[in-house]
Amino acid sequence: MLKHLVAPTVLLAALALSPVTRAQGGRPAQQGAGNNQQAAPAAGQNENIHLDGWERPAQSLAASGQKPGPAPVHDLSGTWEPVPRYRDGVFASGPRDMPSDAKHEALMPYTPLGKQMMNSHKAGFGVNIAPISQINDPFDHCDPIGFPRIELFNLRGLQIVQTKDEVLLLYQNTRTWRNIWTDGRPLPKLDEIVEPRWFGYSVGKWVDDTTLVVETDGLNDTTWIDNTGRPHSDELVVEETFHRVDSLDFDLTIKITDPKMYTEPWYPLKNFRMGQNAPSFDIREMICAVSEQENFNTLLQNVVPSSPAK
Amino acid sequence: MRIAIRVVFLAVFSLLIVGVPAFAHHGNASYDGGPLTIKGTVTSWLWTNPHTFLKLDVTDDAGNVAHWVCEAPAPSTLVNFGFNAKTFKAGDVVTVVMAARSKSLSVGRINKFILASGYVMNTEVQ
Repeated sequence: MLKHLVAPTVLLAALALSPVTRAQGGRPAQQGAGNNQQAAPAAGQNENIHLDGWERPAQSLAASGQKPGPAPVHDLSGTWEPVPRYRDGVFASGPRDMPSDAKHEALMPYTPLGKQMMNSHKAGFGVNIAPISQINDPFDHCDPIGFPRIELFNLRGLQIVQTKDEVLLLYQNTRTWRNIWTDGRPLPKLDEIVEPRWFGYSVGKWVDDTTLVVETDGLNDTTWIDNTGRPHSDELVVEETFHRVDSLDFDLTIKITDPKMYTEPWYPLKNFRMGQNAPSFDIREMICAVSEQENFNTLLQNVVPSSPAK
Repeated sequence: MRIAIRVVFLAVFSLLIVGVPAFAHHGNASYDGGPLTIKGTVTSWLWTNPHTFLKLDVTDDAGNVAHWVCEAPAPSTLVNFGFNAKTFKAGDVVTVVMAARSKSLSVGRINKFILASGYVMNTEVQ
């Protein structure tokens, strides 16, 4: 009896709440949930079936039952995703340990210039959220996402390859890569850098058997630090710590130092866990194609709220 | 009867807390309308970044046709909910449940697809 009651009752509730039951002056009437007979869900429909780029079911090695062993020495190689959920690194509203909400924004050590720059950034998320037509996010035009935003927005699949002289980070988001030089060269001095780069200049050093510390400078200051518009200058220095916890995981910590924009260093991520996938895992493309982005902007450019969001 | 009331409450509650997909360059700040369910005929399915789009023609009882643009999550997310570039084709009849919509335009953001077969494809990110 209950089974027979559930679907009609849900439909009734949906119909009662739906705006389609109200008059929409001058617009064609919409069909509400009550106008179709398809709303009864089938079992299992919402299962989250994580697939790799070849459409094959994919799980982290830990999720598939493998027990962690000791952390290997000086080795980050493999294909990684955030754990426990592969989407835990999306960070749309800012990085996990410093999201752009009222509470955390009050903790941000902006300089006056940093605050001014932050306020000039109209983002799609965070405290500076703006209508689509007013967003001035450079990534909305497929400018290179840059570093450190590549790790602070849509951090998804990440393949790490090591050679004798460098560690290569291959990112799913925008299908880009970084070179971490581990051959002993020093970090370039800021006043000697003649060509700032979207992903900067990176050097890494193993400080113990399982911890690689990477410093990056020489960054193009037109990029945003994260998806909410945190600014940076040409004096930004980013320190990443990759700590191999065991055979299946590493933790990523990121420290931001930029005396022009921030009065003291801050940490968008502290020990953010990445889990190893099977060696056969193929990272799916996630590309910012200019033509697709232009179409996106065109389709949504006229969507403007009657009262701008705060 | 008490169970039925509980079901109604849960349904109402679930509609009130409709999730906001949070995985691209913008949130729902640009949508000023609440949830809406429409049923229409697919004119195109754009499997693109940063978001996908389902374009639907919705015809009312008087024969007026509204051309809807329904925004959905990125391919990298949708693929994990059973979608792919060939999930919809022109002519398919689909019902979409939108979490947010524009009051002035036929544009909205999809939370759930209900196929003609009755199969429900949910895109809510938990």
